[in-house]
Amino acid sequence: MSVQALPLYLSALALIAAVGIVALLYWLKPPPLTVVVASSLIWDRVLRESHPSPDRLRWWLSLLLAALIAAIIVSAVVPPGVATPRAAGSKLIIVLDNSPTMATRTTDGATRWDHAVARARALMESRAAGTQVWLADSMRRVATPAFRNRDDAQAQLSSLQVSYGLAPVLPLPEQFSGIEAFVITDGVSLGPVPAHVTLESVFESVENAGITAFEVRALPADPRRYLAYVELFNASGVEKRIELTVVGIGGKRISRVVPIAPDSPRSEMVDISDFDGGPVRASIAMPGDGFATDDVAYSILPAHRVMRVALVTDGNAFLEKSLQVQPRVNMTVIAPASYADDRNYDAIVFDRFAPKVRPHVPALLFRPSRTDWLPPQHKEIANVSATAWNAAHPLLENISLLDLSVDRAVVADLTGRTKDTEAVLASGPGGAPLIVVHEGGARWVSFAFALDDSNFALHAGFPIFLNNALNWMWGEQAPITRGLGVIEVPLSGARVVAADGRELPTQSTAGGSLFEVDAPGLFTVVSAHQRLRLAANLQDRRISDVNNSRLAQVKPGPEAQIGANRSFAFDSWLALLLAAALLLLFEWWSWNRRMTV
Amino acid sequence: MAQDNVLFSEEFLRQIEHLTMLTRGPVAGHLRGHHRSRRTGSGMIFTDYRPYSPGDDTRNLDWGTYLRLDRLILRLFEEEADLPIYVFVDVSRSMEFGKPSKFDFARRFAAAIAYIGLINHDRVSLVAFSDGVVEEMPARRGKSQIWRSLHFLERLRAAGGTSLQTAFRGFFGARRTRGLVVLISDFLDREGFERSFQVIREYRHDVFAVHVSSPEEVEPALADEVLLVDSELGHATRTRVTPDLIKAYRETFLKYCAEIEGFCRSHGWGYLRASTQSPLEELVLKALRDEGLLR
Repeated sequence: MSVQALPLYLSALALIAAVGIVALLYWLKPPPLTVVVASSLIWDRVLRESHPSPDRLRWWLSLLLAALIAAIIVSAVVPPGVATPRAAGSKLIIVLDNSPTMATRTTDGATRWDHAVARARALMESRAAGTQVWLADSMRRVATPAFRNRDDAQAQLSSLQVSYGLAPVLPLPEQFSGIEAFVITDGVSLGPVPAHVTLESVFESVENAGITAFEVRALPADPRRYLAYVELFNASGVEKRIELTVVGIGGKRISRVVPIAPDSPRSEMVDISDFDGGPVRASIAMPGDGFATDDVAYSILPAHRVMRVALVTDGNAFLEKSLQVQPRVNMTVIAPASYADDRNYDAIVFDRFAPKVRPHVPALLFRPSRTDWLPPQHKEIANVSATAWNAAHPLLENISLLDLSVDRAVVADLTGRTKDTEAVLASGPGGAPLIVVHEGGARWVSFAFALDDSNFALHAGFPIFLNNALNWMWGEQAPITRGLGVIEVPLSGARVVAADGRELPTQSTAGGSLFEVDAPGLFTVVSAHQRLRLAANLQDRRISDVNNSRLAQVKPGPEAQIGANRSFAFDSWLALLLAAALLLLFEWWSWNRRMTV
Repeated sequence: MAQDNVLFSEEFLRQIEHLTMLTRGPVAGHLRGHHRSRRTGSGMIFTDYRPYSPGDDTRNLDWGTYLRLDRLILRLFEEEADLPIYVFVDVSRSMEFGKPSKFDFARRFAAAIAYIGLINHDRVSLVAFSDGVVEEMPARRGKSQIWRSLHFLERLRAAGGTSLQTAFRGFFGARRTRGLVVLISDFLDREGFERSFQVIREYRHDVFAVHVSSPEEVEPALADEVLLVDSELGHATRTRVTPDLIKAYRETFLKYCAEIEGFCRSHGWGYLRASTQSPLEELVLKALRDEGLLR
């Protein structure tokens, strides 16, 4: 139950009115029944022996008790607000922290953000109607903060919410001397607040545990086995036993209870080799967990199919061995002269060779020979390195081309080939295309250089590249993993569909699309020619550590530090009603013992 | 007055005609009556001999003794005198309390005592008192005075406070023959009853106290917040009545009655607690007999 705070003067008026009404009722109280007795001699003796308080004293005591009870009840129902209303035309600055930790749920069931909004609203309502309010948030939802009238600011406040993805900042006007400024925060993510800004804290310590990392990987020693790597973090301050559950499609489920020391991480490896390929969900359960966003994380387990790959080469031992160590690859080496068709293969790797007819299956080509279905070869260049590459492309995930050195390459001329199905993945000086990809129909990737003519095969990331390439070409590329918040994908005009079929609103940018995710989940990004799987998880220990607040050390509570400028919390409201109930009991007790009238 | 015209029933009067007032010792009356006197004289009961002195009534000489001893010896007889009865009726405002009122009850009781005294040829004085002697009917004797006595009682009105001491000093300050004092009152005297009773003790009267109370006094039917107004003094006390308080009141009232009774018993006085709800006839015929006031 929330209690709406009133301005101080209204609360005082309500208090005075309540006490006044009680006093008036006491004055108007009908006189007691007059009974004539023969003599009060015996009564006087009885009353003297029972030591009753004098009538007047009893009356005053009753009045005092009743007035006190009324005052307490009024204080509980209409607690004093934040400040005395200022004159019309005054200004007010309010900055709300809407960083992720503000979504933490407090003991009264509301979130820190709910408290912050209530506090901001009370601040505004305590000011005169003509007050100009400058409202901003730490996650820059309010793009252009400006002084607005109070009603507009209230509407703006209603549209704000907790946001993810960006580092929180403290937006303040450049000049605001003489203007009251308030920052409402939990003190976890937001930086220091200037001294002349009033800090309103909504921090309350809660228990929390979260998933700070979740990844599905094949076991290096046995590529057909998969492990889910989960990192957990206990921010509760005491040791906790957390139930970790990993669920895959088809009802596959693994649960275990994990003890975690306070303020410590713990890594868990869960063997999910028995799971079918598809989405995998990791979740934790802990009683009293105050922050739910980090309690779940998603990933995708690749299908366990063996890929038939043909290597068409005159001899390339290095490439042959690199392909052989790829998991799920069943490789066949074919001489170019023997290559006839692609019927028995899922993908083909061409080394310094290209067939005259475009294969029907995906192909990876290293310095292909001249052919019609590939971009025409333009010129040969020597001693070049990669100067630009699309690191966001699934092919280059976890790959760096920074040290790529190419002795000799035959670059293609892409002039006139304006198909959006072909793209330059990496280029050398002058934009010379070193790696070109094609996404329409059967995919292919074409390198302008042979492995023997570069140091690419010596890179630590080369096997990873091969894995990425095979997965991408086969349409089974690893899901893109992103944090929560605004996510950009390199697909123009893309549609984003959540796992439950709900389509998310997107915004197109140059060469990509933007959409916002505020909860962990699996999403499918679909463009005209491409389809991406995207796992959005929080996985940030700084956020999961919801009690790491600069305001945590303020005793007996940050609200007490703020003093009169704070609204009544739920516990104050409850305590006041409890006190009123106790006083009522005392009044009843004293009335029965003729201490009160 | 509710019962002005029906103070006594004919049957009741017939029954009490046979009753005689008793005292615990010889009386000091100077008229002939039915009570033993302190004086010797012409009574019927022999008491003693003494030598004859000139002037003695020769009718009392014991001629047998003179023949045997040759000495004149006079026979002495106990003289029978009348009994002075002082009936004090409390007419303070507090006596108006109750239904029937203690005042009516007291007057009827006083009338019964007076009637018994008068038909036994005792001298009966009726004294109405509140915070002093209000009115007095001088001593009357003989059955013929009964209507005068009843008329006196009928004319009384309850008023004023209660001061037993002032009333007794006012009445007994004048020289009064020692006799039987019958006190009919609720004894609700703020000055206390002890000092008042000591006044009577000084004059060595025989006393019989009739403590009149009404059921409303013993068991007050009060509830919740009340303003108790003293009928005599008019001052008010605000209080909240609880069962515990009623219980305490009852105990205090009974304790007060016991104090009065204890004082009377310790000084050889008679004491009767009379509830206004008790039938008067029963009280007079039985209770007073049991208490030794009547024979």
